[in-house]
Amino acid sequence: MSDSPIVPDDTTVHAAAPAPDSDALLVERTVAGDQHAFELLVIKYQRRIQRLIGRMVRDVDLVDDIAQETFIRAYRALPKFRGEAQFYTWLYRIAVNTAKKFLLELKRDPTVTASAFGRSDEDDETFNAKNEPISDETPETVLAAKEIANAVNQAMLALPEDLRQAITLREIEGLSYEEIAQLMACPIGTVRSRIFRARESISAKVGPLLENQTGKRW
Amino acid sequence: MVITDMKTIQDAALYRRIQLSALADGELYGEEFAEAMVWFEGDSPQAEQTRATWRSLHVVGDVLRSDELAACHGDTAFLTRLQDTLKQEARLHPAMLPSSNRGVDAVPHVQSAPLESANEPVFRWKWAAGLASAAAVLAVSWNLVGGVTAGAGAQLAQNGTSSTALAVQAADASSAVSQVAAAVSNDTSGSGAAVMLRNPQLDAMIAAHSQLGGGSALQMPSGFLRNATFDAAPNRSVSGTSR
Repeated sequence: MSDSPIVPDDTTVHAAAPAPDSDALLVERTVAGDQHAFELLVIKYQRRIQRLIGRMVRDVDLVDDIAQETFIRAYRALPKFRGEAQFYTWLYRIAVNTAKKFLLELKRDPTVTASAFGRSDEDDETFNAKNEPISDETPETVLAAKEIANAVNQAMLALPEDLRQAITLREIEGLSYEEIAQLMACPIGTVRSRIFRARESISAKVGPLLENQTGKRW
Repeated sequence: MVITDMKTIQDAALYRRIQLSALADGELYGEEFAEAMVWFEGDSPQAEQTRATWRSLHVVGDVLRSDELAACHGDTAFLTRLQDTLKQEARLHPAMLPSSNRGVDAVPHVQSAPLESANEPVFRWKWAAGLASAAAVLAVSWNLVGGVTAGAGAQLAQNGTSSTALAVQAADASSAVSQVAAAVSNDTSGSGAAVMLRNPQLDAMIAAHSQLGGGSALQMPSGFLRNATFDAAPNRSVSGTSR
């Protein structure tokens, strides 16, 4: 295993996509001393980081510990983060390095190493779970995930065309409001409103299913 | 009136959710951004509601991007645990405390102890090492110079016969050149490396014409003689030109 630092130099991590860096202001605010800003980043990326770590370690009890350690390391190193890479790209590397360190210390083998270590962040966002089994998934969680996915799909289909297009361009394609406004030939304020309404509609249908999932991760 | 108030409250809540949606996309700047950040501060029900909205926004986004994340619902206990750790971190690193809390929760400063740079001890050791090196060089130099002088003198004293004879023969010239030449010859004879036959007349002649003396005349390296010769020349020329 390499001796690369757990917290990477963000100049060596290349941004995966030209999407607007939505985290720059939160990072800036965290460095200035606003801990709430860091909490928002934690809430935002907690699931992705847990899922990433969950692919790398056998012991599900370790996932939370490693995720905690990842965020703490990121918090400590944040003053050194120069914003030359996307925050999540940087965080992703910290998570991988932290998980590696845990595995090394505990002398455990990662469950799935190739996919977790080799994929880029773009792949991570659009990763197809069907081909990648998670070691600790249970029939209940698999069923719940299917239900939620179906609910999201139905909610998307039920959206008016303009709302569906706006939310798709934002969430799936990662375009900025300005780019979406140009594509949809409408003011930025309209884009903001459409995306909000789409989210509200989806959340209304998916929310109850997610609340039932509280406390379960996989 | 009640209806108006409710409408105002609903409008305010709606406004918040719209702004939070934009914040989640990184599309809030300046005053709007600062205003939204204030909503997260504290433990009030409104702040909790704001956090829940923020979480919900990202859950929806994650689920839209990946079916797998649909089953990965982040729990609030994770954040609570992390918050506790971060509070401890903030105590250790006061610079990363929220600006409003600075000076309140920060670890009290001990002002009597002046801060010293992290490499201060290293710097001291560098000074000590430098002084020690200088002392060592001085000691070695002193031994070398003193050893050469004392050795030459001792050899001159030991080889009393030859050196005295040479000194008498060269007494008229009384130059250091012949003494050094004799010392060098004694030195070589003392070590048994070579035996050089000296011609007293030649030595006297060399002593009388020191400007012609050199390595070839003595048939041995004699840097000192050569230097002495070169040193003498400028003086003459200077004195000559000054006249």
